[in-house]
Amino acid sequence: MGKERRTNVIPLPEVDGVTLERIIGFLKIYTEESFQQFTVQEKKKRCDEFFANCKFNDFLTLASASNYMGAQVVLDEACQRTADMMKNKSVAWVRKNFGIKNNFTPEEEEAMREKHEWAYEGVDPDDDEEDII
Amino acid sequence: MYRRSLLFPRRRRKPRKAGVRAPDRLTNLPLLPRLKILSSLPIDEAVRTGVLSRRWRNLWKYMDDITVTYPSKKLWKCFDDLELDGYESEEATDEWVYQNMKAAGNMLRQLRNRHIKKLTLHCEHDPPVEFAYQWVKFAFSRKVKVLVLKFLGINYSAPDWFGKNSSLEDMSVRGCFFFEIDGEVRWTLLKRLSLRFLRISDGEMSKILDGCPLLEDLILRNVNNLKTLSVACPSVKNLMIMNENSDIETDLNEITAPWVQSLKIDEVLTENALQLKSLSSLRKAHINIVYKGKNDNFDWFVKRGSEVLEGVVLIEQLSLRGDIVKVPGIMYVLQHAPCLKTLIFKTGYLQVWSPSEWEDQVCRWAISTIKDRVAYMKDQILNLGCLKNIKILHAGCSHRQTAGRLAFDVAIYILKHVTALEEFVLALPENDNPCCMQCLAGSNNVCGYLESLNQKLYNQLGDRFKSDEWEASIAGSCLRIVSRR
Repeated sequence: MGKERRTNVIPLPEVDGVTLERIIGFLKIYTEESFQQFTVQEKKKRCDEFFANCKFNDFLTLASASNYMGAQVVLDEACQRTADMMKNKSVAWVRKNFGIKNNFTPEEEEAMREKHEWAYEGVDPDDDEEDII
Repeated sequence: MYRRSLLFPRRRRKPRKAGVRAPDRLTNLPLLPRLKILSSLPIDEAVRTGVLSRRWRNLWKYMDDITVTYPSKKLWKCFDDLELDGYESEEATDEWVYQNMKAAGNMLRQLRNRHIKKLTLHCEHDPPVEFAYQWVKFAFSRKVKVLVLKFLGINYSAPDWFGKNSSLEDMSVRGCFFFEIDGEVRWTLLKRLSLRFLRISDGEMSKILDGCPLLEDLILRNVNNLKTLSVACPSVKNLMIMNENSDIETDLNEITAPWVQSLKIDEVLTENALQLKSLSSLRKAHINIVYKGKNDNFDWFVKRGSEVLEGVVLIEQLSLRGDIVKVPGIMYVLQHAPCLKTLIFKTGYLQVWSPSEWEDQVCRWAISTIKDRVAYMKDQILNLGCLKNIKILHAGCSHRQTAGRLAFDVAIYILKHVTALEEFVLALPENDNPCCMQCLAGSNNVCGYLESLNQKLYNQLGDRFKSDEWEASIAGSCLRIVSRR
């Protein structure tokens, strides 16, 4: 005589516990009425506080998880902060710190750089202390 | 039966050896977050990602949310090098600027989407005349929906074609010495227009408003020169006039907006009264006007200032902040606003002020006018049949009772006349936002102060507030009295 077991559990295969907590935490803050009344600077400060102890890996996980769950505001924040980490860094730095393998031939790479010369110049030299791993 | 994991607990992973690359999680993100990240970068940085690896080669060309910054990093470097060499050559500068424009144009033309959702042009230096709108033209050709232009203080009028667009839905312009457009304006799909840090004439504003038949939101921030704002278009529902972090007074004298339903006037400085006329559709208003004249003219402001609120009579939600709270015109509104459901006063200040600043700026005015206001209020008759919610926020610190008393007196007076009240909230500043240094010492007294206020309410209101019909609670720095009915 098997009773049907009702389950209130929704499986989230793409999301781990820590990330889920962060997403819920951020959404809670975001939907508070007091938060909505803040000025832009105050909102930014509050978000900075919330994400203070996140490393870049956490942002990538957040981006992936919030994309899966459809939490738009968290996705926006996670993508913006990842982009902020990449800003004004050389290609070599980004490759090294994000673990991207360069599979271009040197000729191909050279051709690409020449095509948009202005985009590749003027970047500040890498500061090794700023590595994020 | 035991679970396998109990019998064979998982071994901890050994820490990765130094030098071994971490998995490339960025490239393995789904497409949408990756494009979003690229969109948060200026276009030259996004183009650079093309060379990271094969999977990144053409990704940037599929962005539909683009940010162009001028000058580019390379151009800044050219300028810096020129300065270091110790001379200024106009020819060299022109040549570099031309090269920058050409390069940026090349990048934009490589974008593959026929329709671009958003273009942001962020100028830390104003680009030359012939190039200023070049990128905007590109965006128009790709049916852009959202356009954000951030100039520094561009000083020439927008070209003729700029005024004709049938795909733009949202436009923000910032930083024009004078905002004007050659010829007619017809932005047939524009729903939201935001103008900031610019000057615009009455005529130009009318021309624009006439040319936007579907406009819903009009936002003016730190906009000067405009004297009369007449919003005749029936579709405009939200009007916001704000003045952030600025000491410059507004030039606005008069606002006529018969169709606007939601009005926000925030931190607008004025030495004259601002007239709100014909606001017959207004349902919700937030008004925060700061008086910028000399202290001895304050009485004049109080008298003239009541004209501001005379236009606002059919509203359902009214939020008042700043000097306007001291204006007797509030009583006029309360007398003639039978639909008012929610009334919010924000009287305190969120910044940390030193005790002497607090004394000078708030207490002096408050103490000097308090007698007048009390006398005025005694003569008024209120009709507040619909008022359900009253909130007094940041009503002053626990030991500096003057600012709190301002709103408190008004609240007591109102409470004596409401019949349908459901909730009354009195909130002091949060402990981490003290309104003056001495609050830090008195923060433990918040609860006691609120209890004494609660008692005062019951004492003053007597029969009106029978205890079985109302429930009072204190949570944090907030006193809440809720009707049990």
